[in-house]
Amino acid sequence: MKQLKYSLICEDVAHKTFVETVLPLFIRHTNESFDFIFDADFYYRFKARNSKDVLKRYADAAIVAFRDYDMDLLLIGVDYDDRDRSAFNKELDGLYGAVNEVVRDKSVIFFPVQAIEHWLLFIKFRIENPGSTKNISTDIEKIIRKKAKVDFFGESRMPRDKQKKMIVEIVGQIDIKWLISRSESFKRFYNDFKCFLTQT
Amino acid sequence: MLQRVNIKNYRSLKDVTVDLQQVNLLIGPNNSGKTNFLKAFEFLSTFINRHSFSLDYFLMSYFRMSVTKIKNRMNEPISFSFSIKLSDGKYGLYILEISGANKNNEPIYREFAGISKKNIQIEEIDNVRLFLDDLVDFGIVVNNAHRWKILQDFEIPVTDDKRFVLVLNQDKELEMRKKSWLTNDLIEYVDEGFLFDFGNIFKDIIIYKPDTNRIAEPGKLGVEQFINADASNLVSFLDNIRDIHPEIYERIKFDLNECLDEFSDLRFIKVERDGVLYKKIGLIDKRKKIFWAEELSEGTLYFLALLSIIHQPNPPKLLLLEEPEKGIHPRRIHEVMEYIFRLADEKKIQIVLTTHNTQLVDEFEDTPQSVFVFEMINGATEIKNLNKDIIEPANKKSEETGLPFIRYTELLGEKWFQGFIGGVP
Repeated sequence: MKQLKYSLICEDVAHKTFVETVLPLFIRHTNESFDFIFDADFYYRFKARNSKDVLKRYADAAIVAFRDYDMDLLLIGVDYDDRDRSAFNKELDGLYGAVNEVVRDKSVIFFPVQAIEHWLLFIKFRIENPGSTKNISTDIEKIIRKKAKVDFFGESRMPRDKQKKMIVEIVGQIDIKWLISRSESFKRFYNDFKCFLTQT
Repeated sequence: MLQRVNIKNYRSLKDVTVDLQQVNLLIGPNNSGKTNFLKAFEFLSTFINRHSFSLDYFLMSYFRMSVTKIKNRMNEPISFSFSIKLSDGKYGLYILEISGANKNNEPIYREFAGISKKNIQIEEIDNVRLFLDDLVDFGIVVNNAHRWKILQDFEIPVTDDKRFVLVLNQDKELEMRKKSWLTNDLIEYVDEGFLFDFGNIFKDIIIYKPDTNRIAEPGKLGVEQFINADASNLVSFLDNIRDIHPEIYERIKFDLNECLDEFSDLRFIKVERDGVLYKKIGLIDKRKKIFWAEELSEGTLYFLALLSIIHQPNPPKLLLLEEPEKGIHPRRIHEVMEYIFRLADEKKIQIVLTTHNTQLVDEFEDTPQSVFVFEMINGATEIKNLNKDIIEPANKKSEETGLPFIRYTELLGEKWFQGFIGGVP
């Protein structure tokens, strides 16, 4: 099995746990055969605390990742932070545009509308309502971020360990196909990741 | 001025080499070895200036543990090597090695001092160290005032063809050995200039960490001539210096006004506590209003302490300062650092600072060679020079890979905080 070394620049533990959990499921879903090795050294060196932190460092950190760490893939996580989805593609293209073209193909940005908690709420809805055909995209993506956090975790400042546990449990039950059909931002992440795999 | 410093087996400093500049900045996470680096200078100063020749006694009092315990812990010798640029343009080399005990279970230390016309390279330091390995039973001459006297009495010949080392044998007698291996003009002679420069650099090295809570306390009536490590005797020092060194007192007032222009003068008032007279200090503002110490900000008190440390009579030639930004408003940091750079140049003081403050790091954007990044790797401190070990290799790699250069020194503090230069928790 081919090994791929990857790392992350993202906003918080929710981002990190989400990606670490969903990555093997993506691989399974795409019928590819890769073994992803996480570079913790790079992650902790460039660890960010919020979107501002990520935005300030990701473009130059991408250079360091591929120049000094011999990375195969860099995942960059930043929340879209807006209920109005109209500028989503333009903003995401702008984010990609800031990454140097030499390493852009090896960088995948996940950019949830509005935040990672919204993707988690989608997954939770699907688990709780497996037979529902309701298009709940607008309902979920309109929830303000603070409320989405409380809706998912039950409180606004959930300890990191508990957050991780809850995310691993929920994401482990993700219905990728369904989520792609409901969340445009998740669909873009999945497609960009798949595109990276096909190029590798 | 100290140039190359190599320290081995002192606390977390297993083997580190740095090339010091005039004003140096140490950055890195907590417990990465920054304070140990400063303590190494303090240790050496204490060793050089000790009054007893008993190594056992010195080690016991320094490490505060029994000699047996110290010796058991000393698997590898503690070693300090320094190259020094002397005032006459030559270079001095000093090596000290302290090991636990020799085969007779006697404590061993070996010192080496010499002068070179050219800058001393690390390989040459290693050559000398290899030579020292053959001299297990000898202490080598040396800088202690008493022993320097012996050295001068020995009438060292100053000629180009004579290269030598001086050894103090077990019977404490001096002998001179010519050594042909000392090539490249490494060790030529030891003169008074070297003794003066060396003695001055290592005289009374103190790690200054002014404690603003203690500075504000009333002090004894002026008796203090020097500032202590936490600057708790500041009031007493200023009260004393006003009478015995009015020119220094005036300079402190002048510089205070230049940096903190709201204050123009100092005042003292006697206060009585339990029948004992003390003095407390105050600053006068432009409207002639007095602000007593307890009303002054931490930053103002800290700055006053800093001025006093630098201006004290016979100020240290090597000034060690821990986190000088503490209590200072972020907008004042630039002014304080400008002042530190200016005084370092003016008074020929070498300064080593530690910090956790990104704005202070920004002050070194134009001098990345003066920034040292500390990290703890497997229990040992690793020190990288920002320019030589981080920026230059990164730029070289960028060139090779066709990737753009990262502007490391643009918003340097921010780059450090973001993780680009390492030294982050």
